[in-house]
Amino acid sequence: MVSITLKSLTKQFGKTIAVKDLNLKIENKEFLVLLGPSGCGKTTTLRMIAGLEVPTKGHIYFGDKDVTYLHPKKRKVAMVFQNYALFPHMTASDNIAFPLKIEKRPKEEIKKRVKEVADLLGIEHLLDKKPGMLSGGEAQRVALGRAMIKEPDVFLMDEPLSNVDAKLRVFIRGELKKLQKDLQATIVYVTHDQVEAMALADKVVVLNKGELQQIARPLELYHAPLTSFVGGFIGTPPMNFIECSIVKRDGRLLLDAGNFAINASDLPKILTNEVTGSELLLGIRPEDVILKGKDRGDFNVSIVSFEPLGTETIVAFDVQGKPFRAKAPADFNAKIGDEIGIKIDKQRMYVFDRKTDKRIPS
Amino acid sequence: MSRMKTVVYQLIAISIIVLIVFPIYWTVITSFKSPRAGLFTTEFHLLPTNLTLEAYQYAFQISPIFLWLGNSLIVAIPTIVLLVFLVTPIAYALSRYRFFGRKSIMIMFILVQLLPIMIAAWPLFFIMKELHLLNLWGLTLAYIAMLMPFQIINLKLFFDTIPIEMDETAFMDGASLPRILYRIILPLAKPGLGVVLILGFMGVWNEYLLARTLLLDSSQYTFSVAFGELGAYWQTPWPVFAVYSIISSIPLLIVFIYAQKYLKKGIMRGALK
Repeated sequence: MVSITLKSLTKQFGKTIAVKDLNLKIENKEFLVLLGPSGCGKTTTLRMIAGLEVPTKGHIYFGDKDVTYLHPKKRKVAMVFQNYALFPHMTASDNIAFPLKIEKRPKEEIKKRVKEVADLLGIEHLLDKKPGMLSGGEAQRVALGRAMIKEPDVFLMDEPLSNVDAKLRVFIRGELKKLQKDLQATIVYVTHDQVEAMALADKVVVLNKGELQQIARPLELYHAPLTSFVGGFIGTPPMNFIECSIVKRDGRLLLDAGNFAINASDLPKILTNEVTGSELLLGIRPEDVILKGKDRGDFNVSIVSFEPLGTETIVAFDVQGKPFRAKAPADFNAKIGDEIGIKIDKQRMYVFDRKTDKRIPS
Repeated sequence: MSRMKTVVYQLIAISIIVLIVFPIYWTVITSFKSPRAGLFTTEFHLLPTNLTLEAYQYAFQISPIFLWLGNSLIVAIPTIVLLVFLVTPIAYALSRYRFFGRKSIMIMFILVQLLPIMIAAWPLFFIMKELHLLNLWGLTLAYIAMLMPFQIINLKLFFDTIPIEMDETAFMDGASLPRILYRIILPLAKPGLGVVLILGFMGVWNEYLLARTLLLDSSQYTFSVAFGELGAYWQTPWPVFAVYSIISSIPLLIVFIYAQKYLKKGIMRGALK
């Protein structure tokens, strides 16, 4: 078992920079999720840890050992691919046994290990089937079994649940987390699904356009996003943003958003001291939006869409030409076109500097 | 209207079938006629009369038919074996690696298909003459060279459909490159190999021009060359000709039946998703 350290890791494909100067430490037995939209460099990072890509710059350490240029098989890592990559001409059992066969282990040992792994994953009855006869979830387990049989120091998983249907995904997610605790495994897991990341991770690394945005525990990521990108990426529906600037008018502090202004006299002090005059981005989570009657909030909006979900109702408005969503109680009743007031809880509001994209801590 | 359409389509289908099947039928019927009936007969009977096996006896008596068949096989089998052996790694490299000149090589492979084999025949004759290879071995080499470009492209396109994660998984487990190629990728490329096998064998079996150019000794004639000679010089009767035609199709049929099971689709089912 090892910890993994990435030092100034950079990968360029021609002129495109896939990963830029990434520094990261993955602790032993940690479930680390690399999260970001497609093209953010998360898969490239994983492939560099796996040894499938050679970094353009920087180093990868397993413990104290520099493995940057080491052959994957010597790294003691196992990878689970998005499409499982099971060999279709071999049975599930042969697929699971493949890594040991390559190592030319004795037949009895292979047979015993395959049985152990199959036992653990509950797939004994599938061992004689070929991948073509397996369902998505079953194939997923066989792929997991093939990774487990190597008893690797680190599991690398590249969106392993994205081909499984939504219901099963939640189920396997739970199992995966349990498995990680049982095996005491270190897992580096790539996904673009923020819910999956929050559910699974001990620590989440958010990447965008090859650059590190934030490393944090799931809840920290939700409560204290460092950039507007992270704020917008975590949470469903996503965080709402209002472009504005702080101005002083008639001795009062206002957040001027063009068409309307929000009274900012109750804004945390540190904010007003630091950023008066500068270009800001307000981030408000849909769950923190308070719906009021017309003229009783900070500003008025008209409803453009209305999604009753049972547990809650998502109401959407148009603010500065972008959708602005609020979570309302399930029994919230209104019509499209109705005008209502929106009140913003200044304590639960995030303020970002529009130039640097960084959050201004309050 | 739609009924009319159906009838018209059926008529077209039937005519096509007749066009294809009738010559085969006629060949088979003719092979059972008496060779002594005359070299050219103007009689036309749709249903055969006076069936006899004389033509078959005659064919085996007057000509070393098994020698020719043997010669064809001596060329065809090594050609196919070497073809698969040579084409596989090249196609794999073109499919999996990005290297300098990759595109130019592929374009070259496609362009050389456009050149008629006639252009190569004479130069090949002189090359093979200098190398003292105006024999079946020289012909085998020429055939391999003739078939390789197309088959490389064919197999490369097939390899492209096999996800690279297959290679990567095996690579991470420590499988060597030959193991990945021959134990993982090639079994998955069986339909592609089936095409190499069928088209390669057909190409060699039916080829006339190169064989006629490069083979001087009549004891080395392949079946297709011998077939041509029979008509030109030996004034072979039609029924005997028909017998040769039938015999020469048998190996092709066998290869087809053998290779078609590889062409079955769906082998990739379940590899992904």
